Amino acid sequence: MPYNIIVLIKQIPDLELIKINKDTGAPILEGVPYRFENLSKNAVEAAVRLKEKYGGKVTAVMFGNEKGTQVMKEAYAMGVDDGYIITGYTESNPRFTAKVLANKIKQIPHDIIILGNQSADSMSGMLASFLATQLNYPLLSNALKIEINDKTAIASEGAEKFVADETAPLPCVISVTQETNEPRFPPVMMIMKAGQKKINIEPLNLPVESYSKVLSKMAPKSERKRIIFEDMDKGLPEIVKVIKEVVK
Amino acid sequence: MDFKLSPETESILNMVSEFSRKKIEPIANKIDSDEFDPKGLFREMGSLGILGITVPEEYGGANLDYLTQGLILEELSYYSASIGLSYGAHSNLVMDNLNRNGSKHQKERYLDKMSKGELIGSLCLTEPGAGSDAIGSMKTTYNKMEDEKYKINGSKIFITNAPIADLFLTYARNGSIYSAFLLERADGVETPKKLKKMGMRGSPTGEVVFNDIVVGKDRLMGNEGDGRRIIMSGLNSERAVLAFGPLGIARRALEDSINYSTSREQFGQKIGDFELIQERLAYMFTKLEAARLLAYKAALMTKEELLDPSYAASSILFASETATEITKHAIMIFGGYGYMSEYPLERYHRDALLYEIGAGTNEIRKIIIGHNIQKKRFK
Ligand SMILES: Cc1cc2nc3c(=O)[nH]c(=O)nc-3n(C[C@H](O)[C@H](O)[C@H](O)COP(=O)(O)OP(=O)(O)OC[C@H]3O[C@@H](n4cnc5c(N)ncnc54)[C@H](O)[C@@H]3O)c2cc1C
Repeated sequence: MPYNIIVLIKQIPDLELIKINKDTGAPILEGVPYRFENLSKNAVEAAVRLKEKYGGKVTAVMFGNEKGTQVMKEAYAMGVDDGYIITGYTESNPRFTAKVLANKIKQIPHDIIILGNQSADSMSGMLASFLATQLNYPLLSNALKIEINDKTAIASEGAEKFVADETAPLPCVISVTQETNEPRFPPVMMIMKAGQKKINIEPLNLPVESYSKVLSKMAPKSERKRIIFEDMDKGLPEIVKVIKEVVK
Repeated sequence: MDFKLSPETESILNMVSEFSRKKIEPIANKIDSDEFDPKGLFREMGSLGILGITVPEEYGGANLDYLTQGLILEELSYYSASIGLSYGAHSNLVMDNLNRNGSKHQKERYLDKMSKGELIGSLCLTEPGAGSDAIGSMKTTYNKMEDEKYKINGSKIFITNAPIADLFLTYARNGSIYSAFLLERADGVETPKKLKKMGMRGSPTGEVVFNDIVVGKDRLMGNEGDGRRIIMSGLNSERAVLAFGPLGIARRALEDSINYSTSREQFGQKIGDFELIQERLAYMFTKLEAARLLAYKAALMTKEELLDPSYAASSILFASETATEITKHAIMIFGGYGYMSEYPLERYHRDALLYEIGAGTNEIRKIIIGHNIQKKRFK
């Protein structure tokens, strides 16, 4: 039975290219290119696999800005059928983001909503539950394996040493982790086709509500001790002594 | 003029880079051994659709240009120069050549499978006694037999991918007439020896022997007598595309050097604070950017109708010298660590040297440029 699947994706600055301002500890974001957020890729992979298994359609929704078209095209190349970018994203404000996304989701036919359980830049990990609350849908979180049986989703959820199977009636929200799957590399022909496909860009049409505010975003200070052990004969006891002092 | 690539090309390169980071980088050291067999990676590259990048869609390709092919080769070479080289031989030297010169039947028979990485190709020009003078000194011969069949005899050497190849695009002569043949391993082609070498160890190189190989007319590529033209035009696109191999190696060596000089400390400061290290870095950066510009231009100029071999020859001449110099500077910036096999710097240098030899040595490239710029005035 075919399903309408919505996958939520995000673009983030390339974390490997971010440098830290030595004096203030703030990340320098100017000139850093944006790319596909890691767990969003796992979410797309999970959505496309469900489509391949059961049939249906995958629609991607991103709350971001116009620069997100590159990421949306990469999602198309992985097998997403249709995509919406809602522009006007400013900063991590998960409850508001959930509201914006829920608003859009309600306009699109859907049975399943898939997203990453957190995002690699802000890592608040709150979006999935805020979203489920906004939509008043059940949430299956950290799903390692997803199956659909008629009108029920079954997810194997991983928590520490346990794997638990949980079910929820559709429509529901499912969050995935980086262990859920290995995202595919989109083949050249899919990339070329994705280039021709239309991306729907819509401006934010809700007033910004500030539920939480990022007060500061600084790299942790790590002062190295720079201790050099010059007298080799003193050996391990000397090192143990220093470590004990520091740990204290 | 801006240097922006199309969003599709950007996506393709992102994909190749991510694939290489996950699948090639972790085994880059293992690849640098004579025992490594890249067949599995060919299958994977096939499923990504990068092998047939310049051939039409009906043969599993993407119908894109030499610049895109070069940029893919650069990206692969950034992670493993050996994989870049084997990719270049298969995708450009054989597939692109076959696409330009083969019959519909030949393309159907080989290209789709080669796009998928199910068949691997090698190009057989060089012989033990015919290197720089590959045409004049060629000893591999073919004879036309009564029943429209051809009999081929001879041997080739230093052939990339030969030990793992299924298809051998082979040049042979009948007196002063040169022709190109598509020979299959099943026709009786032998590859007795896999050669040990200084660098590019993960790219198998070998000897190829043709002992009374008899094939039908369907294996002749182009017409009889087309060999010389096919060799020359093939070498031109080969040079334009392979120039991106040294670019990838050099870019990697430069990036490693920048990272190292901003972390390694001596005399109580980062070595990157020493102006003598900065001089090396500035020089490496400048040469790499210059080589890149020339490579882009040559790749865009390499079209049948614009055929001027000086660009492709100067592109790979400059890129290869640049990579040799940059990888040597990188070793020096790493000091003793650069000389150790535990670090990849010495590998970059060993790999880079090949590009001053393969696809015609730098001397031959200079001769081509010298001749052509006198024949033709610049626009
Ligand atoms: C790793 C590797 C992979 C290769 N892959 C392939 C392949 O896939 N297919 C293929 O066909 N070949 C391949 N080759 C062969 C390569 O193209 C030849 O090695 C190259 O063309 C040089 O030929 P040679 O080695 O016989 O050197 P020679 O021609 O003997 O040259 C020896 C020296 O003399 C110089 N020299 C020659 N003629 C002149 C001249 N007129 N003026 C000034 N100096 C001159 C040369 O520059 C060189 O320095 C490969 C080689 C290597 C090392």
